Amino acid sequence: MRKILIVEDDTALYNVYSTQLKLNNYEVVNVSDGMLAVDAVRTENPDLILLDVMLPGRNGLEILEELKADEELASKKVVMLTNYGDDSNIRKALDLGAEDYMLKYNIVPSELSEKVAHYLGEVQSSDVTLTNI
Amino acid sequence: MLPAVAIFLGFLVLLSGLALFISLKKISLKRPHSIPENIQKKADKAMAENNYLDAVTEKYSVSLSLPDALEALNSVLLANLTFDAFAYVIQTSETKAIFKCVANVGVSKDYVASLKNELVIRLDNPQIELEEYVVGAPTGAGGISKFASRLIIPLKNKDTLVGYFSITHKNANTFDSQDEAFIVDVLDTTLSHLINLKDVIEREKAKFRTMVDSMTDGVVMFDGDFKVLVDNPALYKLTGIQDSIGVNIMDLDSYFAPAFSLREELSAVFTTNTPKDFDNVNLDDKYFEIALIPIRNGDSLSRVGMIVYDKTQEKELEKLRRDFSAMVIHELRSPLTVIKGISDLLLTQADRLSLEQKNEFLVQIKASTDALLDKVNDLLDAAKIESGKIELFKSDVDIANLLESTKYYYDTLAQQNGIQIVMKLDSAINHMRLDEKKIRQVLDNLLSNAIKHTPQGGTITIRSEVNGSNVDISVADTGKGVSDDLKSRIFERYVQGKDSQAKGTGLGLVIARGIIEAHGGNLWVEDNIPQGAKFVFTLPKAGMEMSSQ
Repeated sequence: MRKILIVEDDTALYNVYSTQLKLNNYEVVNVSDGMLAVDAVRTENPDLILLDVMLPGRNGLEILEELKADEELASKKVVMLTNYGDDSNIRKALDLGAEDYMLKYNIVPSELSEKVAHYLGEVQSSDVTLTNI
Repeated sequence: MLPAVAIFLGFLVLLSGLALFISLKKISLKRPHSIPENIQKKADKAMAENNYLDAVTEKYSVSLSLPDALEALNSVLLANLTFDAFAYVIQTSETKAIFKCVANVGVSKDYVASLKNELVIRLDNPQIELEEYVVGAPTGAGGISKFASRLIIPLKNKDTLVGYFSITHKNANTFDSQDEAFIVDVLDTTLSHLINLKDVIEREKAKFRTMVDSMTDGVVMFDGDFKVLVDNPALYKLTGIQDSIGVNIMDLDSYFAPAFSLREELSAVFTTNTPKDFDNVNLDDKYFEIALIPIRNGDSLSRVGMIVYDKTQEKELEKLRRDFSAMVIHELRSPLTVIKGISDLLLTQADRLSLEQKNEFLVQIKASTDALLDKVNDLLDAAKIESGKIELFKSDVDIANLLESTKYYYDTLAQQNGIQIVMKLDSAINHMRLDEKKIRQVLDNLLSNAIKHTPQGGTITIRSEVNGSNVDISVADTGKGVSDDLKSRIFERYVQGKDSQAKGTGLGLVIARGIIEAHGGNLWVEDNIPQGAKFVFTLPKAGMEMSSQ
C-alpha cells in the first residue's frame, strides 16, 4: 500500500482528504506541526507528501526547502496545499522543486485521489488535468 | 496639500501682510523750507517717502537690525537734500557700536575719518569697540577731504540716546534749520516706526515660533543660500538630526540623500517657483511625505519652506487593514473549504462511507458552520461597535447566576485541559440591569481566551467585587500573561498576540470592550499576581439592587 503523508494542521480538512485517500487504498499519515514535518518524512518514508503552506511552527516553504536540500529526502515528491492562491508562494514552491500545487478551496476529493495517483505514476498524465500557472 | 502646509503658509502670509500693513500706514514727512510747488514734485516726494518706509520695513523685518533699516535712508535724503556724505554711529551694546558712512563719489578717506571722529567722540566712551562700514568711494588723497557744513542729530530709542546721525557737505552754509527739522522728522518717524514694528514683529515671531514648535510635522525654512532660517523640534524628532544651533543643510541633505538630493530639489523650487511634493519617502523605517513650498515676499521668491510629514503610522494601519482583510478571507474560507470537501465526499462516496463516518462528517459540517457564523457575527458586531450602533436590551440580571452558568459551561473544556476554574463572588452583588446576552458574550470571550492561554495544572479565577461606585468583574489566569507592549493594543482592531496560534478574527476583545463601554464601564488587562493575565471589567453600580443580606 502506497503511503501519503499529509502535513496539515486543520484536522477537519485532514479528515476529508484522508477519508477519500483511504477509500482509494492509500495509507495516510498526518503531521500537523511544521516543526515535526521533516522528521515525519524521515520516519514514515511516504511515497508522496501533501504539504500545507501555512502551518504552526514552520511554514511549508521552509519545510520544502529543507527536504530538497537533504540528499536522502530530496527525491520525495511534494504537492503543495495552499489556501491563499498566493502567486509568489506558489512560484517559490515550484522553484524549490514541488511537483505541483493545489488550492485547498478548489479541491474536490475525487480529484485529489486522481492527482495523487498521477504523481505516484499510477495513471497516465492525460487522465488528469494538470494545474498550470 | 498637507493641512500643516496650509497653516504654515497662512501664517507666513499673515506675517508679511502685517509688515505691509504697517508700511502702508504712511507717515507724511514734511520738509518745511522746500514745500514743492508743482504737483509732479509732490508726487515724487511722496513716492520717495513711501518707498523709503517700505524699504525700512523690508530690511527691518528680515534682520530686526536698526543699522540695516537706517541704510534705507539714503534714497529719501538724496531726493530731498544736497550732501556729500551721511553717517551714523549707533551703540549696540555697552561696549560695541556700529559706524556707517554713505559717501558720494569724490569724498576722500580723510573726509570719512574726520566724520567718524566727530560722531564717535560724542559717545563719550573711550572703550567702545567700533564696527565700521563705509559705502561709496572714498578716493584717498586728492578727493574732497574736509566738510564745511554738517548737521548732527542725536538718535533716540524712546528716551534713551543710542547714537548720532550726521549729514555733511564740503561747502559752508549748505544746511539750514529747515533741513535740520526735516531730518529730525525723518529720523523720528523712522525710529518710532521701527520701535513699533519691532514690537509687532517680535510678538508675531513669538506666536509663529510657538506654533511651528508645537507642530507635529517637521518644518524648515531655507533662504536662497540654503541657510536654515527656521526649524522645529518635530524635525529633530523625525530625522534624529540635532545640532546645538539647529539643523543645517549639510545634515538634512545627507539624511534625505537616499531618497533625493535636497540641494537639487531646493534649487529647482527656487528656479521654477513651483512647489514639489515627495510621497512615500522611505527612510530609517519611516515613511514621509515631504513638501517643498516657495514662499513669496511680494513678487520675489526669497524663501522655500519644507514640511516633513511622518506617515509611518498611516502606512502601518494600511498594512494592518490589508493583512486583516486577507486574514478574514482566510478565516471565512477555511470552514467553507471543509464544508465543501465533506459535501463532495458525501455526494460522491456515500455508498462507501460507514454510517459512523457520515455522522462524523455531519458533526464537522455543523462545527464548521458554527465557526463560520461566529466569525461573520464577530465581523458584524465589530462593525456595529465601530459605527457606534450597538444596541443594548437590558433586563434585571442575577450576576452571580450569570457567572456561575458561564463557569459551568466552560468547566468541561477546562477539565479536558487540566485547568481548574475557581469562583470568588461578592455576595453583596445581586441583580444588575444589563444586556445579559452581550455580557455573556464578553464572559465567553474572556474565559475561552483564558483557557487557551493557561497551561495544564493552571487555575482560572472569576471574581466579582464592589469597588466604589462600580462592580468589578475579573477573569484571571496563570498563563504567560500579556506583554506591556500588547496590553493596550490587544483591544484594537487588527491586532492579535503574535505568538498566539489563536485562530479567529482577533475581534473578540474589540467586541468585548465595545460591549462593556456601551454599558458605561471599562475593560482592561493587567498582570495577575504572581503569574498570568487578569482581564477586568467594571460596570457602574447605578441601578444595581444590593442584596439585603
